[in-house]
Amino acid sequence: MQARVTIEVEAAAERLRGVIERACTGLVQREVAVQLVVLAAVAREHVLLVGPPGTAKSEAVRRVATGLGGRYFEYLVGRFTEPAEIFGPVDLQRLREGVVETRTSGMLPEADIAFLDEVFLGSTAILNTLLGLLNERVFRRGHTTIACPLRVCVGASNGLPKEPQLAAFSDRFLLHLFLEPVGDPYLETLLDAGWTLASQARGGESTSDDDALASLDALSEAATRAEVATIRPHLAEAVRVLRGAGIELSDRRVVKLQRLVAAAAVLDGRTRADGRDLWPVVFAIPEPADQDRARDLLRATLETSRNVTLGSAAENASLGPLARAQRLERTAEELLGMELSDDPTARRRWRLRLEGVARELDAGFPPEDRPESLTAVRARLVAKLEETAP
Amino acid sequence: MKLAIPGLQRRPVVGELRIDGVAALGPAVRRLLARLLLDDDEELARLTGVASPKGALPEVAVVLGPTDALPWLEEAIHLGRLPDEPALLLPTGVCPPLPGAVLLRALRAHAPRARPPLVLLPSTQHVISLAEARPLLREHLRKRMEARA
Repeated sequence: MQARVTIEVEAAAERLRGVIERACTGLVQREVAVQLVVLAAVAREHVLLVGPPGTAKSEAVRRVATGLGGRYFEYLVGRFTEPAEIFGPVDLQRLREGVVETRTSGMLPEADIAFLDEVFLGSTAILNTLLGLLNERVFRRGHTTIACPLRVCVGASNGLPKEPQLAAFSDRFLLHLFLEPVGDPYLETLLDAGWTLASQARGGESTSDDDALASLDALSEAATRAEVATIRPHLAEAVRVLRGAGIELSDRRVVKLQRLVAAAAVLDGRTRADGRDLWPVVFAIPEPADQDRARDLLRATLETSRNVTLGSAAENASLGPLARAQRLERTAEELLGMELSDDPTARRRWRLRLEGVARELDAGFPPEDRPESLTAVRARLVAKLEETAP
Repeated sequence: MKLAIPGLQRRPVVGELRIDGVAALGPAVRRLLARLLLDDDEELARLTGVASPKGALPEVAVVLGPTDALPWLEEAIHLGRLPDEPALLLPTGVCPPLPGAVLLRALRAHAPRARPPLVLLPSTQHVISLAEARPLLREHLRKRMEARA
């Protein structure tokens, strides 16, 4: 029975891995955002993306939604946005009968995945209704009370709100990710990807996996039943370390951390959480500076972090060698599998990227402490570099 | 200049991986030169370097620059500045058993003429000053290559 459950979990995790890979194709340095949206969806939690405009926040979420299928709702919230624009208009026919009902078709209450840009600009009426929807997945307005299918809501903002009532609202987004514009060394890749993206949009290319949403639900279900008892003392210790350093984590967040840890485990194809799955703790810390401190404070605890589906997020949180090795292997395989271009500039750039992987691999892992799989990948990298030497 | 310091073994890097330079020893120096000559002028302009004087054994060369501009080659030693003492570069993954500033002072006491920034290569016990690091000029690289032919 346990073996069958594990096989099902592995298969579902693999399907979501495909969704993530497709969503990340052509997106530069947004793997962590994509992976955290999936983690939150499996944990039935929500994500807040904080970063300047134009950092592909909406694109990342839209791609996950496309890959997962299901109904997607996206809205740019403004100071004058009416609740009806997000939740649906009042049903006038029913109003004449003295009943205040909302027509929710195509609106947030019926969405599987939602993205609310500039979410903190919403009015009190919007934010209060959202609170219920995010917490209980129930939409209540007038005489309308409906259960919502929402898997994950992603909020976006340029910064964290300072006002206490808005800070309380932002606390409902368990995962916080802080995005920066793409770094200078990746500008060519960004330009390339942006161009390809635009061509795909013109061609109407998009791919979704019909069973992906079902796999997501299966993993969510598996996460609620996952074995987390053995990891609990380690989680408690990590929280003690953070609180001891003055990093605030509300009791609500601490309790919910277990869901993230369980979700990380099932996305790695396991039904029992262990030390490899503690890394989401870092993203549950609300402030960016505290997240950085947490990476340092928990360095030893997070050293064993890894996740076959969420490798970039695990690496970003833990800065651990195992997660780094996983990413290097993946990147190397991707580069080795590329068809070589006849264009000398393209070939040269491809070689430089190969060299970049080899450099990071050599610098990060002394030969005697290199995982076997990484040693094998390195041998192929070196052979390819020699074979294609100018 | 050579100095033996115990407890400087390489380990897999935990935390941020900083690669600020590359060192080559002995026969690898020639391969480093050959690899640098493949760079275009724009890429070379992002790098600086130092090399041991003619006749030094083993021959050593160090190239510094942004990570993405550094050359890769077999047997290169990747160097990173110590987070607590940026004037000292060690092979990546080597964590000194004492604070960086203390180690730098010890190196300077041992080699007073070596002006920081310094590179310490524990495998060969080399201490290399980067104070004289210069931009890499294609002509100079070519001459050095030819001198080894």
